[in-house]
Amino acid sequence: MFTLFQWLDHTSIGEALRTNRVLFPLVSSIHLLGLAVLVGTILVTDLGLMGVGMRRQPVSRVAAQLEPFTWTGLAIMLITGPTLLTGEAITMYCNWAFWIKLAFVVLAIAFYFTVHRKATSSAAAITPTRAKSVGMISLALWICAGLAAKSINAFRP
Amino acid sequence: MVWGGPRVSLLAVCQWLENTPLGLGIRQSSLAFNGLVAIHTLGIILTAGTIWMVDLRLLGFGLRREPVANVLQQILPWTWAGFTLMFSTGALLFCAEAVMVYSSISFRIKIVLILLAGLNALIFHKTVYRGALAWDSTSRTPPRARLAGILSLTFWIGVVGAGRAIAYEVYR
Repeated sequence: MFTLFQWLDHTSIGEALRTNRVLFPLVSSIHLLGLAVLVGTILVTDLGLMGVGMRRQPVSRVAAQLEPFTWTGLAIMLITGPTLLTGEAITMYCNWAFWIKLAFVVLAIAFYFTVHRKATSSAAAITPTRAKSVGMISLALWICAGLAAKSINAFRP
Repeated sequence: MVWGGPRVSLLAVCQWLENTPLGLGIRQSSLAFNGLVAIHTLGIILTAGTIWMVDLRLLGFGLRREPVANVLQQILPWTWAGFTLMFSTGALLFCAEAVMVYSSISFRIKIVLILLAGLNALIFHKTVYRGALAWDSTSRTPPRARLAGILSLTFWIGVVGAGRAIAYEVYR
């Protein structure tokens, strides 16, 4: 694993990110924009699931209409994230907040494509309590991923 | 000066703010500072994320089957929640590093963009949106509503970008 991170650090993209002053903030801004789109769509869906907002229409209908944007946000993050990683791969390898973030991201994505997806499908017949917990877990996983991401800077060795 | 009297510069206010017990306390505690930064980021994601959902509807890209007024009324409380979070933590963070942030170009751009975004939202609510019930049933929103949507989208993208840029401008 360390070899992989070492290799990432030595790619030309990584080199460019380290030498160009504008590139890193630019890509990290796009990364954050992707997160806002992703969390925006998921929040709106989860509010419906939790029954605290977006109650005037079925959750499945909202989820279906927002799904392309969730995908867009996720795609932006999955492209810019690894790109940013090449800029400081070794530093990240030594940062435990980075690994916690990665764990939350994997969990959140897995949850989204399995339990969350099932709960928001139009054929879903779930109890309000179950819907509420699905919405809460989904939101909590994404918030934890975001908070862990922010901690990366705070726990630089 | 025409009227004479004391004149306090913005810079002096920033210097004072930085040295208040509040400013000092936040600056000297990395837990408080980083915690505030994290909540500030959550706040902006909540604000921009929810605003973009409304913008997408105005532009006719997303949530097309729901009436604009329905989307807006249901999402707006969460936008305000995000904005309150962002604004209060932002003000505290400003106290901690007022002088550095005051001299940052990115920070000034960010403030201007937030004001423009607010003005755009205000104009939208006071003009086009008043007729929302009339055009809401048709799938296509009027050009001015779409303009407001695209402006809002752009301004908030700018706010996020400028916000990121402050950190890189000040700390690198």
